[in-house]
Amino acid sequence: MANSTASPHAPFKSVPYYPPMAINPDARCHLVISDGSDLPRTQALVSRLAQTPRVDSLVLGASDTPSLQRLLQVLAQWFAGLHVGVQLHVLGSEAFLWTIHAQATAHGLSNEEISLCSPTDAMQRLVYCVHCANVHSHPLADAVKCPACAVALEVREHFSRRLGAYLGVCRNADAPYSGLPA
Amino acid sequence: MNDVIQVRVHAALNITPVIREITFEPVDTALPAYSAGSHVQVHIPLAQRTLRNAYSLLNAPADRTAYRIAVRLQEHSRGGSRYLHENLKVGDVLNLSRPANLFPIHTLGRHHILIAGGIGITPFLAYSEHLLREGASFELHYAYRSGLTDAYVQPLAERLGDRLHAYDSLERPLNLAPILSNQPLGSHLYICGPQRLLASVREQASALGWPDGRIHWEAFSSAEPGLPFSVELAQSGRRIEVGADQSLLEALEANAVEIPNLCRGGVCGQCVTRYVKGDVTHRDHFLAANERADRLMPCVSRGCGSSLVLDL
Amino acid sequence: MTLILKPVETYRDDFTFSNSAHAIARFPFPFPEDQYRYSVNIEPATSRDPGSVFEHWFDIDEHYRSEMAERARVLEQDPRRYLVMPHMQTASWDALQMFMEHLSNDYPALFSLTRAGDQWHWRNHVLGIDQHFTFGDPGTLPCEPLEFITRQVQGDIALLDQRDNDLFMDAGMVTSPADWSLAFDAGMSFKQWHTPVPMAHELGVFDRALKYLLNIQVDKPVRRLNWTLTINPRMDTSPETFHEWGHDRSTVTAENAGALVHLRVELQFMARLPRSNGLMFSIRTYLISLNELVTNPVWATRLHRVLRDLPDPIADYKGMTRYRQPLLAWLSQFDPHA
Repeated sequence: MANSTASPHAPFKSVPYYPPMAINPDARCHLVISDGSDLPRTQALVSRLAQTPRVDSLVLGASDTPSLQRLLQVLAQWFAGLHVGVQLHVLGSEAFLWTIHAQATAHGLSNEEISLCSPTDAMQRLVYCVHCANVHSHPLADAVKCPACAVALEVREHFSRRLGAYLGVCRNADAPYSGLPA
Repeated sequence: MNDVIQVRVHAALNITPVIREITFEPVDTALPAYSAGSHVQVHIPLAQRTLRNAYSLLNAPADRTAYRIAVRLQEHSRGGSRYLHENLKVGDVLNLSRPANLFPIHTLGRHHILIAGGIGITPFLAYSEHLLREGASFELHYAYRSGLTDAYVQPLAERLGDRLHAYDSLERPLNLAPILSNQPLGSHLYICGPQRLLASVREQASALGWPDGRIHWEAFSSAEPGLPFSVELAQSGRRIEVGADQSLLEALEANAVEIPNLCRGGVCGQCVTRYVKGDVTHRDHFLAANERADRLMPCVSRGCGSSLVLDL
Repeated sequence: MTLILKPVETYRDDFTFSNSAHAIARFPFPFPEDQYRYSVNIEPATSRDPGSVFEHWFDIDEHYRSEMAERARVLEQDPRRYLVMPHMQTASWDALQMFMEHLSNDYPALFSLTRAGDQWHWRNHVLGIDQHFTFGDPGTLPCEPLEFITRQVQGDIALLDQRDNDLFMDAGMVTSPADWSLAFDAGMSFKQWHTPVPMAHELGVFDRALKYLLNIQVDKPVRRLNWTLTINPRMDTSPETFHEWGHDRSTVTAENAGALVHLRVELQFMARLPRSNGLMFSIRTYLISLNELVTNPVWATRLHRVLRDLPDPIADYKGMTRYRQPLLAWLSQFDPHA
């Protein structure tokens, strides 16, 4: 299958496109959310933002946000007290980026206000099994086996931001359950 | 041809010295439903020609028994607003274009901030009805001149209570900073009024970190007169004269050259037409500088200097 | 002419579905020439050819009972085929109103609607539904408004939200898709949900189509035809069930192609939803077996030439690569110049 990220049309297709980091100089508040997988990059970003009116950061695994659940709780509290003029920067695995993206849009942020930095786990991706509707993380490959329903899936170059996952569809309808180890 | 709706003037009322409210009722079938922010083009039968001016629909969008518009008398009118003020009578039958919406309410908005200057209140009358019906969170800021463009202050105050913030421009000028600061995440901003109000709200909102996608505006601009000029159609070789108080779009229509159009005020981009040579006075708010090298918007822009040749 | 509805036939298992001579005569054969090419083949959906599929906004035909039974069965097994995001409530009521007004007006023997203000009374004489409700109040219907009405109309329905100069797939009832998943595509923008379509992005097809759709006006709908092939008269060719039907493609031979292979034509219809400013996108699917299709010799010859000359990426996207050779072998007997 063609590598559509190389196409000039990539930003307009469903597969995610992570543009180079850009800082909105007019934002009144910057939030930096990281899953801790690339702390040097997180710290570099926070330093770059030092001149802006307000910077807050949350790092998964830190004392006040030890778990993803806790981090999402803290984030929800933040969002409730924030005003238009925010720029959110997210660093981490692709799964983490889209989890935070979903939480942010649920609180009214738009794509223009959310910057997703290129994922730290380029060799993994989430795959949505269209047959059983479960999402699992898999090593980067054209074909994977769904751990929930055991169908061997072809991973299509089609991505849902809402689910944060690529589309997985049965790769061989003559033998749906065979061909790949789980 | 069902591109136009025939309506009869049911009522026409001067609500200030410069604003006249006109209510249309259907001649035969019910009027099409529409969404808040929609406008219609009113086909105005002047003695020499028919003008088409765009006006926002005011009434609650669910109402299909009547359309209401409010017309401000324009000092530099080419005759359209003057006709609607001075010649139109109850019982007259007119044609309207079908409603179209170039200024819709953002469906994901969690709070809506409406800012109106003068007659720019019109789309927000329909907005208010829709948002009230939906139980949505909103606030309306209305700047006007009392005795001149304060047409809807009283009824809105009764309908909206403390959601309405009224500013008599002489008594209490509109101060934007407090309106644009401290608005909750997911807010959307809508502006309708004169160009300088639009420009100043957009500029201040951007400076406070508002992304472009949260800022929506509708300019009320329409074709303004200029010098007469002539235009040549490259494909047919025809030559068309454009009068001083006629737009290029109107001149084309008068010669049976129909071009898709919605706003007739240089904002929607529907009528963009290519030209192959000639000098143009661009008056639109749509085309980028580089696009103007070979494109123009005939609803407002005019030829000047060397002869204009359109790719039509 | 009186519309005669067939008793329920099946689109699965024993596949009892078939077309009457009348249904074959009105089948929307989609190829205007011997070669297929991508185009923005959108036209105003004006009523034409009384009795044809182009007469009414929402075509009801002899398969009505069968399609509604099939939809109910699919939903029972997989409720994710129906989805409405919270901001699509006004659009849902718009859609319900549009269907009820047109169906009761165009098929008064099958449907009736009486209204007194917001108090509506809807009757579907075929399915035996008699419902009083308050327009705009979901509590007065047995289920959500979009589900209520789309269980009573043929064709898949998507409601598109219009915002940010784009269209978003934010609600729908999709039980007979040609290999796309509402559950996966929900929330996507116009170009995002068209990502799997080969070649067309590069041709700028979607830029032009989007611009056109964004400007559709109230009461000025548009339509286009799309097509693919399906093995057996199977309505539910969704990715969700691909592991159950995909192997059908390996069963085609030069002998059985006429019975097994079906031309699947989608009459896509797009209308402005007046109060929400959304768009209704209805996808009305017509199936015809090639045995039925070749009773029209012009269609038979043309279909052979179109499929023979189709570019490989498109043939692959339409899922016919595995059986293209036996199919062409079978079709060539109807092409005098083959």
